[in-house]
Amino acid sequence: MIRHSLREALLSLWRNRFMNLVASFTIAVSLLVLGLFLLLAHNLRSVVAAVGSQVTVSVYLRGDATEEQRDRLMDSLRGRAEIEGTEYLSPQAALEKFQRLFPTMREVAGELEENPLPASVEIRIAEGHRDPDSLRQLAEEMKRLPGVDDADFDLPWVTRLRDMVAMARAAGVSLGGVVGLAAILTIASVIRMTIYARQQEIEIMRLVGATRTYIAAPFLLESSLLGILGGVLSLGALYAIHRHLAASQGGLVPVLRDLLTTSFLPRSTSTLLLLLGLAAGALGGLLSLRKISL
Amino acid sequence: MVELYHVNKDYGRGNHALVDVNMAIEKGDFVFLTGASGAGKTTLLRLLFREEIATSGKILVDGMNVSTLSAFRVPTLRRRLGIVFQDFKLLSRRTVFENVAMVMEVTGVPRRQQRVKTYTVLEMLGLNHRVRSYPLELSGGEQQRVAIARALVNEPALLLADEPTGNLDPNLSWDIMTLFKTINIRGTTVLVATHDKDLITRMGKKVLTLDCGRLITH
Ligand SMILES: Nc1ncnc2c1ncn2[C@@H]1O[C@H](COP(=O)(O)OP(=O)(O)O)[C@@H](O)[C@H]1O
Ligand SMILES: [Mg+2]
Repeated sequence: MIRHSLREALLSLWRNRFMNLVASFTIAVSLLVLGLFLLLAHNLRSVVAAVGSQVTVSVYLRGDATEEQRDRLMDSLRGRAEIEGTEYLSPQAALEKFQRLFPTMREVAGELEENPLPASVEIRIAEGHRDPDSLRQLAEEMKRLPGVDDADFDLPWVTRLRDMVAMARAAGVSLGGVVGLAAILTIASVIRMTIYARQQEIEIMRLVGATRTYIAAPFLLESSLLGILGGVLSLGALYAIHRHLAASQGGLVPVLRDLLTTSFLPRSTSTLLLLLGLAAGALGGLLSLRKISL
Repeated sequence: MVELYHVNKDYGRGNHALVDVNMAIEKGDFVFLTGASGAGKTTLLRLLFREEIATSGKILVDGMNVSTLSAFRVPTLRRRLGIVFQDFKLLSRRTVFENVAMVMEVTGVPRRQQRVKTYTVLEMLGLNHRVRSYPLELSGGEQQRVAIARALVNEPALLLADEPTGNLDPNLSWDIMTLFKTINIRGTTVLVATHDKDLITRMGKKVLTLDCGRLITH
């Protein structure tokens, strides 16, 4: 049975190799679209993870804040889940940091008679609490503490990036989905044509007592193989694009290129693409068998 | 082996192919079904292997109620039958050997057994030199014998043959009938539809006659 199905499926694949290739290509194209967006999302996500640690709430102390007030502030921050760590910056340390960040302003700062920078506490926010609402809430809370002049927070394009990851995924899934649907229908019609071409043979097999499963299995196998082939083609193309962009200069927006070339899809996502190919193929096969009396 | 009770078959309105047919064929019988062209012979056979469904009435074949048989069980019914079709129904892309072995292939008979049985039956029908040929390379008579070989290879409980000698010369027809007689003696029930009156007379077997869809009793 398995041998029969495999033999029949391979024979049929070879006999209709042109149409079959077209069908595989449509699957490959849809998976490539999905894969490109997944690759973007994958690299965006690692950027988000890297930049995420820069999400901070800065608490500026008043010039006349006492040491006791400062300690009370630091105590109140200890042991809270949304806080990854804190760092106290004395006015001196703040000035040094400023000079480090803006070397051209070094002299200007050095010429100042008095250090204009206040002491501050930098609160690094833990993963999962890096949304604007939580940050605003924490800043408001800090502002109300004695000895605190002001508190603010900056969201270094991280939240926007995170939205972009979600968008890239959604775009990939919906675009890939639409093209995928077309691919499934293409496979279905290619297999249906194969079935029509072999209608007489199928009828004879039925008449000598072949079961539905026996007759259908080669077609299902054939469509599944087409789907897997599509998956392999799409992965190959995706990898080729990934490598080609990495090797070439210019052409694309640099950011976009980075996002496509930094790292390739993890194995789990590649496997998912192959499985989606298989599923699309099998679905196409089932669809083509559904309407045909066996 | 075969029982029909008040069987009617209409192909669309007013086209009565079979009208109130009642009959019984015992296990081990050899029966001819005869009648003019269009009398309903082919229709009756097709009802027996569930290629057509009776408009009304009850049909039993080898203990199975064909009228109520689920689609799922149809292969089980057909595997107990050997069928020789009027138009042979050979696979043109398969060799003679493959055409005959196919009926065992679909039921999962081991390869070796398939070979032995296929060669045996092809030899019986004088086709051993045609094993590797394709149906379209054969004469009408040879194709018919391949169709017969395929029907016999599974040693069916019931052999249904629709005009099995239609393309054969009288000598060969007689040989085929002798072969049918032999397998009948070995236990297969045989039902042959034919309008060859000479053949029927020479064979001296039971005869059922259809006339415009009605069974005529002798
Ligand atoms: N598939 C069909 N559709 C409509 N009418 C049919 C069909 N098969 C047979 N008939 C009609 O049924 C009658 C019996 O035909 P058939 O069983 O083939 O007779 P026979 O085999 O004795 O020549 C004929 O009138 C024929 O036209
Ligand atoms: Mg007929």
